[in-house]
Formats: sequence, C-alpha cells, structure tokens
Amino acid sequence: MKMDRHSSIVLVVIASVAVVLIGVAIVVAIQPPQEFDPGTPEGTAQAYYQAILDGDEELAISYLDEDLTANCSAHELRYFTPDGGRVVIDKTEVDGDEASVDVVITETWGEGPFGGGSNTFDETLIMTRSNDAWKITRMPWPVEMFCHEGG
Amino acid sequence: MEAAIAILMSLVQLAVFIGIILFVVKLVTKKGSSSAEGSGISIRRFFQYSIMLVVLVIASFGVIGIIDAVASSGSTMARDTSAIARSISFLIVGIPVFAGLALYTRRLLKSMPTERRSIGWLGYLTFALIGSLIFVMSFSVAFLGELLTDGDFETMSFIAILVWGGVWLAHWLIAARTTDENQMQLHLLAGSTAGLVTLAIGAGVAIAAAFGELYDAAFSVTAVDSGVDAIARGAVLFVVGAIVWFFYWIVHTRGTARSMLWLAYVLLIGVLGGVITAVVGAGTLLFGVLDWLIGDVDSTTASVHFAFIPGATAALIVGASSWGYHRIVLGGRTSEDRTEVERVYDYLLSGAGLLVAAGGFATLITVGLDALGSQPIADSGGSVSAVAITLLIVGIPLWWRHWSAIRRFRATQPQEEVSSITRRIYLFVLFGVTGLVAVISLLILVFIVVEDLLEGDLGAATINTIAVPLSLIVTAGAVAWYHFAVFREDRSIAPQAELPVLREVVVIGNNEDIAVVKDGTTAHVHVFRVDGESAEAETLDEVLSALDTETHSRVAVVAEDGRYRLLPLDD
Repeated sequence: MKMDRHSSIVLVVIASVAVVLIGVAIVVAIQPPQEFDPGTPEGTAQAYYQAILDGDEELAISYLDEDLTANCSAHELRYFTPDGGRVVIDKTEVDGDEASVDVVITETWGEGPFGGGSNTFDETLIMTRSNDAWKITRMPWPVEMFCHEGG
Repeated sequence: MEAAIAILMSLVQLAVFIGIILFVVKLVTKKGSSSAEGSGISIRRFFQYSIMLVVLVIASFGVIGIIDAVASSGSTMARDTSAIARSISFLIVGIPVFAGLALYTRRLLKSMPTERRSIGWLGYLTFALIGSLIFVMSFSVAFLGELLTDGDFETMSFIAILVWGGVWLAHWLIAARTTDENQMQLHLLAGSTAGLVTLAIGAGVAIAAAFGELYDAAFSVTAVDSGVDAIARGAVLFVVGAIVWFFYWIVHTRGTARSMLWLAYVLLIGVLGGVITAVVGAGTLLFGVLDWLIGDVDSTTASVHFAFIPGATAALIVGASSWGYHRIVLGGRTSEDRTEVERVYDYLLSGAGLLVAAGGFATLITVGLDALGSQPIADSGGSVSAVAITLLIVGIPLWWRHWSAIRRFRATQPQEEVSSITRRIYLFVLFGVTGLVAVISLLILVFIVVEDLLEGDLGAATINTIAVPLSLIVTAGAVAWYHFAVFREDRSIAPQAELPVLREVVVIGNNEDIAVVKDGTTAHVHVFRVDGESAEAETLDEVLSALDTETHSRVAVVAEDGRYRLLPLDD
C-alpha cells in the first residue's frame, strides 16, 4: 500500500544507520588504545589502569607510592576489579614534579550479552615524580576500596 | 513516656493491619453484598481460612518433627530438646485448632452452597494444594538427590514427603468433591508452572552436565559443573518436575477451557519463557564466538574460552523445546483466519525481539560515541562491540519474523488488524516506554553536560560520559519514529468512529404517553407510571419537606433549571 512506504522508508533509514554503526564498532574493537610514553603521567595512568583491567594486581600496585600500600595486600585487589572497563583521559596538568591526570572510568560487570551493567565516574590521579618515574601518591580506584592510607 | 509511645505504635500497627484486612474485604466483597452482613461474612472467611492455613502448616511441621525424632532416636547421640518441644507444641496447638476449623468448615460447606464458590474457600484450597505440592517437590528432590549421589537415606526428607504428600492428597480429594476444574484453574495452572519450571531446570542441568563431560573429555578442560553427580541432580529435578507437569498439565489442564488464565500461562510461561531461555542460550554462544574474534579475551586458549558451550547449548535446547511445544498447544496458524491468540503471540515475540535488538542498537551507538570522544588509555577490549552485534543478530530475526507476519496480515486484513486491541496496546505501550526512557535519559544527559560546563570540564571526555544516556535517547527515538509512522498509516485506514446509538429511554408519565414512546423507538424503554398530581418546589429544602409528608412508596424528583418537580409513581 502507498502509505506503508513511509514506515518502510523509516525502517530502511534506521537499518542503514545500524549497518554503519556495526562497521564503526568493528573498527573500534580491533583498534588498540593509543600508547603513551611510560615516563609521562599519562603513560603511568595508562599502565596502572590497564594492569587493573588485565587483573595484574602486583603490577597495578607497583605504580602506587609505597607509603600508600605499605600495609595492604595486592591479592585483595582481585575482589574489587571489574569484569571489564574503559578509561579515557580528560586532561593532564604538570607542575614540576607534581602532576594530576583527570580520567573518566567506565567499569562493567557481568559476562555475556545479557548480564551486568556499567557505571561511569570521574577520577583524578595525583602523582609525584621520583627517580624519573611517576608514582601515584593519592589512593586511586579501586585500591581505595580495601586499602586505606597508613594501613 | 516511652511505654506510652510503644503502646501507641502498637495500636497504630494494629490499626494499619485492620485497615489492610478491611481493604481486602472491600475488594473481594461482591457488588450488591455491601451490606453489613456481606462484609461480616467476608471478614469471617478471611480469618477462618487464613488461620486454618497457618495451623495446617504448623501442625504438619509438628508431625514431621515428632516422627523424625522418634525415627532417629535410636541413632541420635544428643537430643535437640528445643526442636522436640517445638514439634510437640505445634502438635498440641495445631491439630486441635485445625480439626475444629475443619469441622466448622465442613458444616458450612454443607449448609451454605455459596461457601463452596467463595474466594476464601477457593483461596484456601489453592494455597494448601500449591504449598504442599512445593514442599513435596522440594523434599523429593533433596531425598532422591542424596540417595543417588551419596547413597544416604535422608529420614527427615522421606517423612516430610509422606506428610506433605498426605496433605496434598487430602486437599485434592476435597477439592474434587467441592469444586470443579474451572474454579480451580488457577491452582492447576500454578501446579503446571511448578512442574514445567522444575523439569526445564532439571533438563538444562542434566544436558549441560552431560555435554560438559564430553567437552572435558575432548579438550581436558572442566566446563560447567559436570560429572555424574551433576547429571544425577539434573535428572532428579527433571523426573520430579516431569511427573508434576504431566499430572497437572497433560492430565488435568491442557484440555480445559481456554480462559484468559490458560492463555496467559501458555503464552507467558510456555512461549515467552521458552523464547527468553533460547535467546539467552543462542546469544551466549554467538557472543563467545564474536568475543574470541574481536574482543580481548582473558583466557589464553580456545578450549578454556569456549567452556561455556555446554551450558549455553543446554539453555538453547530447553528454551526452544518449551517454545515449540507450547506453540503446538496454541494451535497451527492458518493463512486465512487470524485469531486474537495468534495476534497476541506475534506481538509478544515481536516485542521481545525488538527489546533485544534495541539493546544492541543502543550499545552500538555508545561504541560510536566513545569513538568520537576521548581515545581510551585503557580498555578491556572489543567485548562491548561483540555484545552489541550479538544482541542485534539475535534480536532482529526474532523481531522481523513476527513483525513481517503482522505486516502481511495488515496488508490482507487491514480493518481487523488495525482495529485489534492487541495492536493498539502494543503500539501505546511502546510509545509509553520509549517516552519514559527518553525523558529519564535526557534528564541525566542535561545534568552531566551542565555539571561539566559549570566545572569548566566540557570537552571530548564529556562525550564519553554522556554516551549511554544519549544512545538511549537516540534508540528510543528511532523506535518511536518507526512505530509512529506505522500508527499514522493505521489511522488512515481505521474505521470511522460510530455515531452514538440510542439505547435506553426513561419515561415517566401516564399510560398514553408511555404507549406512544414505546411504539416510537426501538431503544429499551424504562417505564414509571405517574400516580396522582405532581408537585413543584423551588429549593431542595422544600423537596425534602414534601418527601417527609409523601404517602406514595416511590417518588421521582426531576431537577431542571434550578426548579424541582416531584412525581408520585405507581407501585
């Protein structure tokens, strides 16, 4: 029927948009994240959060200042890491040997297409340069959930 | 002071409790029985059958406890005196109270035929039967599971099966004598549901465990909870569920009248439940493959990654079986006649598919927006893209299969399809849900943007933060846009609204007036013959004064333009 053409046209437009988005999704999926210089605050933030998402507890804790985690066990981190996630940098500020990195974290939980959900929140990493390496000097997510400064 | 407050709070709680009871009584009291006597009977039934149900449970547990204590006394090294005391007290109080109420109920059922049809009696039977059935099923599964896996004979479970089985049997026989299958259809369908769900879970567990054994043997990886014990547990659930389902559904319910309850069970439990289970299984399988191809999987080998296959396959088999069987129960589809049941079936599954596909579309938009925003420094991989594509691949075929059938019938039978209540409910529920999702998401999106603006943080990262609410708005908009186009096309061919038709006329007059009106109209005429002279009044006070001195048993008061006419009527 003639009038049915309008809804069919709308359906074709929506389907075309979906096809384009599928292409974008595949391209995004296979692209690796941008690599930052490990000697920079961005590189330290990247290494820390990737270690969290990869479940490498020891490596993640190694990016924190020793005073923060003196009385905490790296193995407890496994109970607080999400099933998946994504971290993007909002802005970075460097002032001599002090730096702050604002990030937006999206953590996801549940596996498979029908399980779980996601949560997005902001965080600021505070770092101090020591021996040409940047160390996180304020308790970050998710370590703050089980480890408190001073033990 | 504190004691006074405590007493006051207790009185408030009691008042709330009584208020709830009165509200329930008001709901269940039929029209026309709103007299004090009707309300009194309803309150009596509420307390009588509620207490009877409670003491039935108490007495049954008391019997089980005492028998178990006696049966295990020879092998017990230390007595649990508090448990024995509890069982004895349950018996001492429960049995006499239940017996008294049962005898009283028996007398009422004999002397008051309406008691057998009362909601109280039917409700008591339903709860007693379903409650005892669930206890029998639970204890049977526990007993048989222990017997098959560990060789243990659980005395307590066995006793509980006998006691609750006896309770169920007694109430079944009483229900057979005092009610019919139509009155007890809710109970029969609840029993069918309990059986179907149990056998489906059992089948799923057994199949998953069996496939897990094969997977483990082939790849030396422990898949789901496999092993003979797991297969045995699944088999026990399946057998118990199958027996109950066969008795309730095959023998007693399948052939009964296709009431709204019956259709709701078949469509919602059998069909929709099966579809959801099958979709979850198929989706999990597909996601696993896509995640392996484009995601960043944690496991290093394919055999570890694909260990979900046995469980997902079991869900797919069980769900598809339930869906297929209940589709056959509904009856085959004919190309010419379309019943409302088939229409509900198509819209239900179309809606389920649309929901899944919309989830995939929204996830895709989120991925696209994330690509426009700040680039990630850390990412768990392309699993999100795999989720989106999975939901689309699973949802779109399900939606299109049934929506295309709906479009076909709309083209061949436009008036019937467009004017059906099912189609209207479907479209308006869609508009309502998409509108709600859009409003809530817009609130969240505006909040995030304004917050970033005020903090001076508005930038590429804001796009990442608003990706989810924005994708929900766009998806809701797309769904609403398409279905609004459909709605507009429907309105162009909808039948014109019928003009009001005269159905009833009230005549107050003499015999000649009445005769003329009755001959002159095809509508139903309500007749009130005037007996005597009418009177007029200027105010309601005058009307009431006139009524006080009225000698006729019926008077009609007609109010018009602020004046009143009193017409005495013939008895």
